[in-house]
Amino acid sequence: MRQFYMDTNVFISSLKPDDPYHKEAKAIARRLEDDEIQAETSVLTLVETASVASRLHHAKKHRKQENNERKVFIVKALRRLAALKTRFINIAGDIPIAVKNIQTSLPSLFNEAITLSLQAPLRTFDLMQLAAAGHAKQMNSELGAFVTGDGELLSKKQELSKIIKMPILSPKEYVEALGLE
Amino acid sequence: MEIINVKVEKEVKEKLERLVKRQAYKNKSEAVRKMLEEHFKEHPELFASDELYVIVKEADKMTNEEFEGLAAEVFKGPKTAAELVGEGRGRF
Repeated sequence: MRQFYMDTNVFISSLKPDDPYHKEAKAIARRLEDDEIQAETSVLTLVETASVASRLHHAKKHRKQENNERKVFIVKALRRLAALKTRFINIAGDIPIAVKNIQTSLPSLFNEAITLSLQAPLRTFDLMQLAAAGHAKQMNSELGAFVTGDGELLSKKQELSKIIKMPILSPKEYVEALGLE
Repeated sequence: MEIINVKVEKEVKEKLERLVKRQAYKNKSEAVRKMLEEHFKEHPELFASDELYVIVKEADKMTNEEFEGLAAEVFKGPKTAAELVGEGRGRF
């Protein structure tokens, strides 16, 4: 359980003091920096972090800031994520899709996400995060939980946990399970 | 034009000389120049990170405390972190 799969929103929550999971996300981030726990996440988390940082900074400050602050903010957000010593999962390599009349290769992660769509009706990026988590669990049996603040994923945690073969927990549940507070 | 001195392996020098002998290029200097120009033209991605390098240098100047203060201001609002990420996933 000290190793877990971290969804993007847990990291963003650690930087958002008015978020309902901020206290727990901050505790998780602190323990990650101190090597008390270890996180794995998809390379998609880097893209999602950059996207949230870019969109929110643009929406809030673009009228005031003409300099590079938004770009610096995105880079700092990515570096902050890396400072948590997170292991980024990149399911590399293209493989042919196993559907008769589709003759193409696609990244392995996409293939796993398509396979997952047969089991769960989820949106594209949810499929890809869960596919990465499922892959991570296959590679690392010590991975104890998928931690997310996403209400939609948490509401389906019974069925999704079976698919990725590890429990889906909120940051609060994870912190309580490990007694990190 | 500018002059640069470049050290190459003997084998590379011999190949360049063969190309000059075959009159593919006027001389070794032109051969290297044309090859570099073609390579840069074919691989514009080599220079895509120039801007990023400048931004990373600027990011070095921002302290973690300054970043956390800015993040708190930027992310502040009624939407939760999960909702902000979820917007990028096509929700809300």
